[in-house]
Amino acid sequence: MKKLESYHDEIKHCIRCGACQAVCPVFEVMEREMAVARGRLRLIREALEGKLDLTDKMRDYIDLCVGCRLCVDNCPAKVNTDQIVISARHKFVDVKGLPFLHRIMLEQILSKKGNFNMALKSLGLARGTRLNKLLPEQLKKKEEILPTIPQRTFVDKMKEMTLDTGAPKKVGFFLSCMDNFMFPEVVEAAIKVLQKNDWDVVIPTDVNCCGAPHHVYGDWETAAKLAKKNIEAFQDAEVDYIITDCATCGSVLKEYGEMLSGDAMEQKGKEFAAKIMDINAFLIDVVKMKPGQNKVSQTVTYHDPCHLVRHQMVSEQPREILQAVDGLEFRECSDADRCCGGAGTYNINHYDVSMKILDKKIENVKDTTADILATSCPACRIQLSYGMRRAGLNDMVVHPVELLARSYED
Amino acid sequence: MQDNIINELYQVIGKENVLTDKEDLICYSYDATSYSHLPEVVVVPSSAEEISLVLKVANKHRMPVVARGGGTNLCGASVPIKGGIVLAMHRLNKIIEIDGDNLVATVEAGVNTEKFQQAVEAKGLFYPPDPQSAKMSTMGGNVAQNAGGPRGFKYGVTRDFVLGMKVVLADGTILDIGGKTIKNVTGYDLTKFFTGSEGTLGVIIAITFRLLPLPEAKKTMLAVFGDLMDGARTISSIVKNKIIPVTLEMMDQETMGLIEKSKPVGLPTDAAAAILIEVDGSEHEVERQMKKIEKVARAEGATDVVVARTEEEAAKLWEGRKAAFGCMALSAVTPITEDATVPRSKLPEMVKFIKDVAKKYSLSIPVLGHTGDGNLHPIICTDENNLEEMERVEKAIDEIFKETLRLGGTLSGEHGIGLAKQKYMELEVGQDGLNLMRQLKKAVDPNNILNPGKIFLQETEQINEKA
Ligand SMILES: Cc1cc2nc3c(=O)[nH]c(=O)nc-3n(C[C@H](O)[C@H](O)[C@H](O)COP(=O)(O)OP(=O)(O)OC[C@H]3O[C@@H](n4cnc5c(N)ncnc54)[C@H](O)[C@@H]3O)c2cc1C
Ligand code: SF4
Ligand code: SF4
Repeated sequence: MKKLESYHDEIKHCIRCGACQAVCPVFEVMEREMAVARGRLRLIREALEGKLDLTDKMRDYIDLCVGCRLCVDNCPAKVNTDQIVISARHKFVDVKGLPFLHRIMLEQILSKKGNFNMALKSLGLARGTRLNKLLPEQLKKKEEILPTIPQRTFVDKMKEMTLDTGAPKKVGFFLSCMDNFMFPEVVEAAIKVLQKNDWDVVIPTDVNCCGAPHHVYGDWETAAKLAKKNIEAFQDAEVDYIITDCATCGSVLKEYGEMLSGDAMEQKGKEFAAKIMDINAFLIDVVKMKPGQNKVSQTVTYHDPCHLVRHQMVSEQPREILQAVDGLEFRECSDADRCCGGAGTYNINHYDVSMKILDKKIENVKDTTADILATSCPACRIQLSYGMRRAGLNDMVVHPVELLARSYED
Repeated sequence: MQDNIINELYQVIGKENVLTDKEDLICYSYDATSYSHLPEVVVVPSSAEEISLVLKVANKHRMPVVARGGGTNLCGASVPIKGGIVLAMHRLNKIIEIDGDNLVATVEAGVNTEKFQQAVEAKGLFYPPDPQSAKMSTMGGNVAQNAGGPRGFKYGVTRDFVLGMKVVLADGTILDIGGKTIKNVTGYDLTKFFTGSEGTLGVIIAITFRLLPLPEAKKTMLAVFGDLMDGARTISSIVKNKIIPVTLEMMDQETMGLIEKSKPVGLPTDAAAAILIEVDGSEHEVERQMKKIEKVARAEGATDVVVARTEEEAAKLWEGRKAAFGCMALSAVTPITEDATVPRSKLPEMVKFIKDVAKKYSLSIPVLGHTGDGNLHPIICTDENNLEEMERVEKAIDEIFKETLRLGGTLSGEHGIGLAKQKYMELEVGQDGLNLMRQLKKAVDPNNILNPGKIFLQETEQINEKA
């Protein structure tokens, strides 16, 4: 990945035209210059030119970026603010280390599957015994963001599944932490859809966190370690494609080559990254999937995850899937590609800003009056579900493949 | 800044709306030019009353106060060149009223220009001024800069739509001027006085604008030329033939190439120039005008005249045009937009002059502009770090301005004077004109606290040019 210093020239190309003010979701709710690309770039530039120290306040402002790339899309000079922000965070980690809470989260929980599992189990337990009601008000709200945690993880369930059906073709599947622990039904739906289309699915269970949280918060060392483990996990899979239903994972898996640049495994990283594909894109572009005969008589709208629409340029395929299902009526949502404010743990770290961004999103979703909201990232899903619950709406957020799966006979 | 002043500000507007950390100050130290200077404090008010209290504190302590909207101006107008207080106007963002019966609307100064345009259009009404920065500029900034835009050719500029406003004067007085009526000759025309004053006379709180009914139909067409001079002549010729389209936006080959590189919208990059033309009115009127324009353009040598078939196609062309200034940023670290405006009949002469100057000083100067008004935007693509080139840039700008004035034109059609064009002021308005402006400023703001150092300097004043 590029060091902050190497972005100096690109930053100078920001001509301060202010066009990012028109699109940045954080600026829209905060209305302050430090909350928009132009301000962030200026702070970073001053720091690079030795006119500003790497202060905690600057770090806070840099952290406020959700990394949605809306500004980049709209920037005449095509300044990659989201990438520059990530490099700035890395610089902070380099010079000042990880802040305490990030350290716990990134080093202890997200990098170690057992701990993540335990953390969620404890949450389930706390909820079961209503201990969560004792949390301080601010924390209680944050705890409510998380959905109901299912009893069994996908890996548990997988033990009873037949994945090898002897289909003519097979594809690798990267199991995201969130799917495994929170949304196993999405993976089940993906398997069903692929099998119905004559593809077998290979799911290595010794994968780790994709490294996205570590990567965006500047802990590149851990991210690289995780990348290597994941590449190894697919070592024997013998597949040409590795798909994922998590937009965030997908965007970072595609970066493994660069994340391992200079490392002995760089070449393997590149090969691995070249195989990664979003499941929607894979189903349409490679599988050329055929939907089943069942009618799904409902209305649906779609939210574009930033990590899919702008980081991976996938926006048509999920819509094609939804439109292919018999009976399903698709309604476009206005500003469908605007950020929902979830951004991994942004909603926990910056609860108030995140909720303001979310409320705008939910208003637009509400206007469609669709029964179901589909989206292609579990992180968005958690945020959107919470938004629906907050607005007193039916919490009907699903992945497009779940609706597609319903079209097939069992 | 002294602690006692900060404490007074805390008291009148609340600690959370007073920012003093260096990180905050940096974010309000610049605009869309390369000037910058740190303020001493940033204040984020939400009402006329709060602004009045802030100005009273500032006036007592002789602290400079610079209002700031979107920070998108192109002349250094919102850079707090003497430190002091920056008033960030974004929280004053309410559309107070859209009155269809009287065809007027009242908005707070921090309302975003495009949001205002959309809100009136949703009611079948029309606010024509369309600075190409509408997505990110504020109505207060538009009024303070008297912003124009492509539609100025048919409809005029911001000034032509301002009927009244609420302002806060340097001593904190809150004043309502003008009104809701189109006709108003009660005393001096104070609304016009404050319009275009670049924040040097008062802080604008709210503005009442005149509106028009939304035209029934509009169409966009693109006339393409093999020779830049054919394009320039076509503009003069359309005007001579008494056709008034909404816009006549000329772009030369360099401009189109740069737009296409960063934001492909389908401009003919192999042509020497193209004019983006919008016509509006009744369906019938639109058809008639388009035919006439095509005829004139072809007679002057247009190689092609294409009409956008759908609204999306038209919108796309306009997206490209709007992005023009920004697109220069891809090729240059410092794109300097000039704003020289000449009588329409002199347009071909001026275009040629600019191209010759570019050649003479070996500079890249793509030319575009709201050419129907004779308003040219040559954009000098340079790099502020290249001192040798900057010297040539200076010389080129000098020559362009002198020629503009010789042709009976003006230094600035719409971007204002700010810091960027101060040194040429006397050339255009003369010593007497400048003295009158100084006296007016002194009468309204005796302590020179409102955006000091802008447009012109008071006799004893100095600014640090390099800042
Ligand atoms: C890409 C681009 C395209 C542009 N296109 C055009 C164009 O087509 N036509 C055109 O005319 N301009 C154009 N501009 C210039 C600029 O957008 C206009 O000058 C605009 O009016 C500035 O508005 P703002 O809200 O950004 O004001 P700012 O830049 O924040 O401020 C401008 C001036 O107004 C004063 N001011 C702001 N708010 C207030 C207030 N409430 N009370 C008193 N004073 C105030 C400031 O002190 C300053 O002097 C363009 C700029 C860019 C970057
Ligand atoms: S849109 Fe791009 S060039 Fe313009 S101010 Fe924002 S980051 Fe800078
Ligand atoms: S990436 Fe998104 S949040 Fe970050 S500056 Fe750009 S628009 Fe704003």
